[in-house]
Amino acid sequence: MFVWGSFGAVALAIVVEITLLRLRTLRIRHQINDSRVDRQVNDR
Amino acid sequence: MNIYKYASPATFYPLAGRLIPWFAVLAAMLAAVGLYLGLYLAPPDFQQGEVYRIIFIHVPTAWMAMIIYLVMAAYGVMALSFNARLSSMMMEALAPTGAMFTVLALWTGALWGKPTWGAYWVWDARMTSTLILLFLYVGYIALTHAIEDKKRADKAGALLVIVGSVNVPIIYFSVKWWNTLHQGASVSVTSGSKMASMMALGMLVMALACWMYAIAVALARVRAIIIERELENGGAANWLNTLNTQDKRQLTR
Repeated sequence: MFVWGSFGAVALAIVVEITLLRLRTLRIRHQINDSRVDRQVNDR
Repeated sequence: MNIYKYASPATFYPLAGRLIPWFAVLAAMLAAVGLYLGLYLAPPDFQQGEVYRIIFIHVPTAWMAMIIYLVMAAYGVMALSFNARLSSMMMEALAPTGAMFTVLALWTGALWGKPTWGAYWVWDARMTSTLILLFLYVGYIALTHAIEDKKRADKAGALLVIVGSVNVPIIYFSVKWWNTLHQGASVSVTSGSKMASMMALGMLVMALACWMYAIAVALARVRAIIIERELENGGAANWLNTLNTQDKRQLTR
């Protein structure tokens, strides 16, 4: 139980870290796309 | 090849993008080999039985917690000496991963302590100094997020990390300097390994896997940080045009 608790915690931490990083990248992509749309609207 | 050109965030961004898959694949492969060696091939310990297998994750995470902090301190020195923006960004990218490894080192240590010492936690010198390392990581993250001006935040964060690096040798030598419950080093650069070769090999392969993982994640995070700062400066549109087609498509699709 102690061994699986240790390895399981590491696996969980890695999944959480990669998910948060992925969400951060997605948020940036949305920000960039929003700013492009704003620019296009302003250009018109 | 002029390596100094990669000190610029704009040129480092595509390089980091190319390196991430290599480090990620290496990390996965090394972790698979390390887990096979540690959980399957290595024999049970004659005193502790199966529970000693926590060593294959506890020691690599504890090493990474200390090494990442030292790498951050080195970046801090570069950031302050050369006013290098990328060094500050690398510090910011490494801190969450370093904090994660410190939490994991404490967690796995607690789960190893209970069956062997009879307690999850004792205020032992090694454990207490590692807890202080976690506070230093959290302190750095909190401090750099609390200051709005990024330049000032970077400088303050670099100073904190450099001053805090004095804690790393304290963690490492604590088991020699004080009479601690925590055992001494099983693997040493000067005196080699006191463990069975299969156990030492499994631990070293897992440590390498953690290294590769930390590099891959730090590179991915620094890419995010580079764009976030460009967005804050309002120069993202011009900067986007300097990227190659693949990087541009990743960001704008």
